[in-house]
Amino acid sequence: MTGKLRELIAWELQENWAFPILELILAVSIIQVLPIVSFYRGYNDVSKPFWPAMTFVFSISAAIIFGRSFAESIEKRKFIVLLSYPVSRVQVFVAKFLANFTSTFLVFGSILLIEGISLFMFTPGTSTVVDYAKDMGLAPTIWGLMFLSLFLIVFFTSSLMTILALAIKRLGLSILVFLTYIFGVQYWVTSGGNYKALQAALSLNIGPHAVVRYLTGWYYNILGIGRTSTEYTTQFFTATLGYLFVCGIVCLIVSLIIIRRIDLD
Amino acid sequence: MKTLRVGAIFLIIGISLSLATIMRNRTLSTGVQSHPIGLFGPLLLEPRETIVVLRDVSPEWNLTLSLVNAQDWTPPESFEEADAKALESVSTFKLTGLKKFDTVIFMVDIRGLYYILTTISTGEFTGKTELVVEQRGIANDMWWASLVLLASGIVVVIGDRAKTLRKHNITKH
Repeated sequence: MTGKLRELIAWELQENWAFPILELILAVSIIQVLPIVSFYRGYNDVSKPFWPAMTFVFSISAAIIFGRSFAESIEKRKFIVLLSYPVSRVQVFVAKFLANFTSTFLVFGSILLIEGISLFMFTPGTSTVVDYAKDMGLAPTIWGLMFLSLFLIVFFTSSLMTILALAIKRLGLSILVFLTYIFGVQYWVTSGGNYKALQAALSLNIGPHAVVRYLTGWYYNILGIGRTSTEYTTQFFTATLGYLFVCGIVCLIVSLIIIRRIDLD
Repeated sequence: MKTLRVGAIFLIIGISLSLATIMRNRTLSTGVQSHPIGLFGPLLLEPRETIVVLRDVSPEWNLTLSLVNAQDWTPPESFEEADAKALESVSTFKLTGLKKFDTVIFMVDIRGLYYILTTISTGEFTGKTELVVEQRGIANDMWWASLVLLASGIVVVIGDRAKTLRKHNITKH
């Protein structure tokens, strides 16, 4: 990493994660996640409650962090001030995105880690005597996949908010459009009650759970210790992965194009 | 300034954790658990009050209920091979002289994975058994963790403020 990029990242962290942003995100995440209690460590009982509890926190955090970083910098002309130094637009963009994405992932990742420790998810189970606990041995795998899902969801929300912030160039309006889209889709896919229909892959709480559930089932089956249902179809899993990862990549590339051509005045 | 921020983060985490602990303070029920022998688990139990109801059990008299930490026992491949006497000997909690429909209330000491077993006077497992397991009250370990974080946060914040005031007074004089 070049010295300039490092300096830009440090400046971004100091500016965008100043008191009380980090504290607020930590507080809301702890209050949303740690009340989740479970008697079991199976993938249905343990991974499912985390996502509905966190959808609200992911969305609000991405909206505030990336909205402030991009839309507000343009609105308040901080971007122009930054560009008066010998740095390119792409360098500023990369530094901002990298700093905020990494910090957001680390904050949520540490909450997920604490939740995993409190639920003994990092203790591998042995073969068990009771039927309902047959997936006990997979606890670390399940929690590992939770981190993969977390990465996907943070990447998607970050990229989507970045493109909206750059395209709209207004903090308030970009947050409004972002939250309307996220919660609108959320309402649309869950209002029918059909959680297995393909459109449910667009939901930020059903999609990540489907990734964990499908991959755990798949892993269980290829281990040869028995057969279990993946619960979600391959089509549903692919749709979720495509929506979260491919859309995230597309949003990021388009954001890069926008930042090179955008009129900052 | 940096010390103050660290103190504020400790304080916020402590407050949030204590709120989360209070929010968890609801009865958590497993519902009815039914098994061909009196061996249940592993269940994820927290250090709080635990209630076990012997809803249906065969035979109905002179029963023993034990709680075994999963760390103290390696389960065999099939439950027919499980040795009830060996399990009873490593139990962290044991109550004898029970009968069908009895309710047992005990406190779990350490958060962990546990097996609950019901045995008869000869030391063998009971036959088909149905239990209701519930946990209620505040999880002690989380409560203490939140209090420690809160106290640390207060100490760091007060310490930093005192340091700043002292510096301010020295400059003034």
